[in-house]
Amino acid sequence: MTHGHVATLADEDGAAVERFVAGDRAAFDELFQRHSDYVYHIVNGVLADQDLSRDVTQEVFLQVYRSLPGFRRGSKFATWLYRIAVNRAVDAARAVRRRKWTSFTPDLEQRADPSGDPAGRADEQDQSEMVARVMREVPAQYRDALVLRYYREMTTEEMAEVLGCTVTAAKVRLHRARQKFRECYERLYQRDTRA
Amino acid sequence: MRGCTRGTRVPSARCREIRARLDAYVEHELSADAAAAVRAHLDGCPVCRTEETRIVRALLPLRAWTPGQSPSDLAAGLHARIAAMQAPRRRNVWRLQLAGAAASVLLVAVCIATGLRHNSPGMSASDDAPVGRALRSGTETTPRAAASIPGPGSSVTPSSELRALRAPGATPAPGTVPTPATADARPPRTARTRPTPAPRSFLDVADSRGVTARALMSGVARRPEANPDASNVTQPLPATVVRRTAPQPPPRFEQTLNERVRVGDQVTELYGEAKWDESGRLRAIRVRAETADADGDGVK
Repeated sequence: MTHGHVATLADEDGAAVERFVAGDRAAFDELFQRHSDYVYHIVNGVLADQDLSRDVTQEVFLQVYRSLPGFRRGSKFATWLYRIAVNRAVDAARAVRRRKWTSFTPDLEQRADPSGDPAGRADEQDQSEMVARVMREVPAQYRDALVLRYYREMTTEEMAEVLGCTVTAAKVRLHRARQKFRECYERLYQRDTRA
Repeated sequence: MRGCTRGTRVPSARCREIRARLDAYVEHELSADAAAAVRAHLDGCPVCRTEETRIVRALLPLRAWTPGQSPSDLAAGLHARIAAMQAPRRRNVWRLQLAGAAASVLLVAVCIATGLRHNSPGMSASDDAPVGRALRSGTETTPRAAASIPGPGSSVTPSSELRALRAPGATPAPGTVPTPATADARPPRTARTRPTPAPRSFLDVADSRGVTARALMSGVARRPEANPDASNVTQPLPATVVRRTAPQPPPRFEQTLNERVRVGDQVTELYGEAKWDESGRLRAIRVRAETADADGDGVK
């Protein structure tokens, strides 16, 4: 996505916001069409649950629908929208975390992966599904950074903008998130590659 | 380049410093100078190289992470929710109007009734209050007893009024000796119901068929080591668990059970989930319980 394209989108978003505030409800549909996939991908990246992600994505746009009249002119709509999406998704992930499941068959789950070798499993199982499984184990507060960086391929500067923090803070957050992901990944797939 | 001491797991300060930047290094996020310093250290430190390999392996799936397809009903669902969000406003207006009308009717009825009673010859305002009468006579009454007391104007015998005051929960006046008629009117002690003791675990809560979750789960999947016969493991959940659909697992079959059990004033919802893989092998069973007040939504 080039800078020119981003600028054009920002202009189009700004115009749509103006029209919505003026009473043109169709402008909201335009914004939804333009950003719904992106928002869904962020939310689903954090939650790794399609049904829940659909609900949360709709809640994000509901919040936008309600809050758009108070949207500050001059702000970038997409950044504001993605920040809402990240916050909503992390909140939902925390709520899911509180509802703890009791597994009756942990041994079966382990038995299903006897090799414990994700590289060998790559052919059998979709890599994205593998990541989703690990992401469910990663604490909610670390997921957003991973999603923005790897799922949405944002730069650290863009991440900082969406997360509402400094670039340095975003780097630290990303570093910790990677550490957590690695811990969960190795624990889940029983990696033991210590020298 | 100094690295970890061979044979020891304790990394040196330099190794710790390098490892803190390894993820950024493998993701090419370091400046050229910083990356060169890390590379030089890795050349001389096999332990940190192993660490680098582990990081690369763990982050590899993340790089291959691709967004899934958005659900097709996303827009339709949102429009429905926007419509639902706007609907309560109209309903609230309607409710307010209804409540206002009801309040007006009630007020008029109370005014009429009060005016009639005050105008009735030989009746004072206090005479029409059975609860007040009971209080004056030193007898306590419960709301239930008060509710069962007939109002003024109805043909009430003294004994029936007394029986009403002696309804369950009513306390006799001090020094009052119950007559045989009133003693007969008392409900037997056995009529009192004791609250059902709360089960220790949600697993012991029986559903409407008298089946507990523990009983359901106990016969589901046997541990592989106890049962090497794989055919037993691949057996689907019993019909009582898979309540709505016959257990014919397609690839990545996943099913949720939702049992609602009411115990006293609380409702416990039991969620169960079973997963099969493509070959029909049972992967996992897990349960979750949420308890809330019957008239509230506080999940515990």
